[in-house]
Amino acid sequence: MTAQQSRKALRRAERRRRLSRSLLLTAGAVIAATVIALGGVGGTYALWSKASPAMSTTTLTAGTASMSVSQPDAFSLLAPGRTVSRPFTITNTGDTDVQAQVSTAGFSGTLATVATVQITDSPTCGAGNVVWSRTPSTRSNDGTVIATVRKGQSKTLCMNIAIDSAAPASTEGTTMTNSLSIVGVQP
Amino acid sequence: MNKFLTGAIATAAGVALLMGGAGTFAYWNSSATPAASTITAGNLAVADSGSAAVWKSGNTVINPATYKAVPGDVLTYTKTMNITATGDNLVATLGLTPGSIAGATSGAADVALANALTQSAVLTATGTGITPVTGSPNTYTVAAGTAGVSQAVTVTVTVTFPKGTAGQYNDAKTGAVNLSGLAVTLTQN
Repeated sequence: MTAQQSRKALRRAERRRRLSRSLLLTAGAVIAATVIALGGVGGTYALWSKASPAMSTTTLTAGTASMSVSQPDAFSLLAPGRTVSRPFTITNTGDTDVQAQVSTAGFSGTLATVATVQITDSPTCGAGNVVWSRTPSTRSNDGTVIATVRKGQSKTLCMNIAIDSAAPASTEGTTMTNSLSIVGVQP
Repeated sequence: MNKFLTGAIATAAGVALLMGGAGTFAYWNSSATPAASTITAGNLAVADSGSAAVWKSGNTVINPATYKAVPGDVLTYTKTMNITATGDNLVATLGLTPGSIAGATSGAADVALANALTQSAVLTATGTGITPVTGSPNTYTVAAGTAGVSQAVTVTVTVTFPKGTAGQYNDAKTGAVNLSGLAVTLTQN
């Protein structure tokens, strides 16, 4: 072979090598791409699902239980054998019916030793049923219900104070302090 | 040219052609086009029926925006939803994700009310293709079949303010809570 022929042969061989290499690279790239594409399949699922809210936000508010009691006018000119009456009103200002109960009661002063205190259900302080009472020696139980007042309504009761007809002269001109605590409880 | 070299080039060309894969082949082939046909996908949906929810306290209809709850109240919320399932092989599970009660604010009365209230929900679904799942309350299997399922289902939520003992829930007075999060779900099996 001449030098020129061998150079040509070398160039052809070189071209064949380049062609083979590029084809191998292409095949390799195709294989790699195929592997990547298959490998990516195990990802998201195509199952259907749907959720819909059944309750859009709702606000619920609680009410309250509240009650007010008016102060009876002052009791004056109490005398042995005499009863003085004063009405007072319980008003339900809450969102539920309430049962009014006398929770605590205190009586002090010399006059208390000869006084009987009663609460009746007569709004006019006429004839009525006694719902709570106290004598110098006894008292209705704490928690006695004196009235049930419906929501938004009020009830007028009567407080009577009677001085014992046998009250001694030493009680003349003396005073008595009463304190009754009334509580409302949801029935 | 060297015969050996020619042969090698031809082989290389042939190999390149085979390895390249692209290009035309010389052997016979034939193709045919099947008759045109349409494929339709089914559907799986759950949506508000459009009819308003009803709130009741006992048997009395109430407006929750103005109603004042007190201990002993049992409030119920009733809502209808529409479910749709079409697909010859479609089987799905109909269920309820629980809602939540949270104080409207972080104030003491709101938190106390949220702690006092109890909530339970019931999903009722009846109709062809709908079957309750034994042992799983509020869960149904929906099998669409060839006819499909299009049905109204009912969600009932009961919110109870327990009576408790005297004064037990005094700190919940005037509190406010938000009820939210309850959802009906339909999931393909």
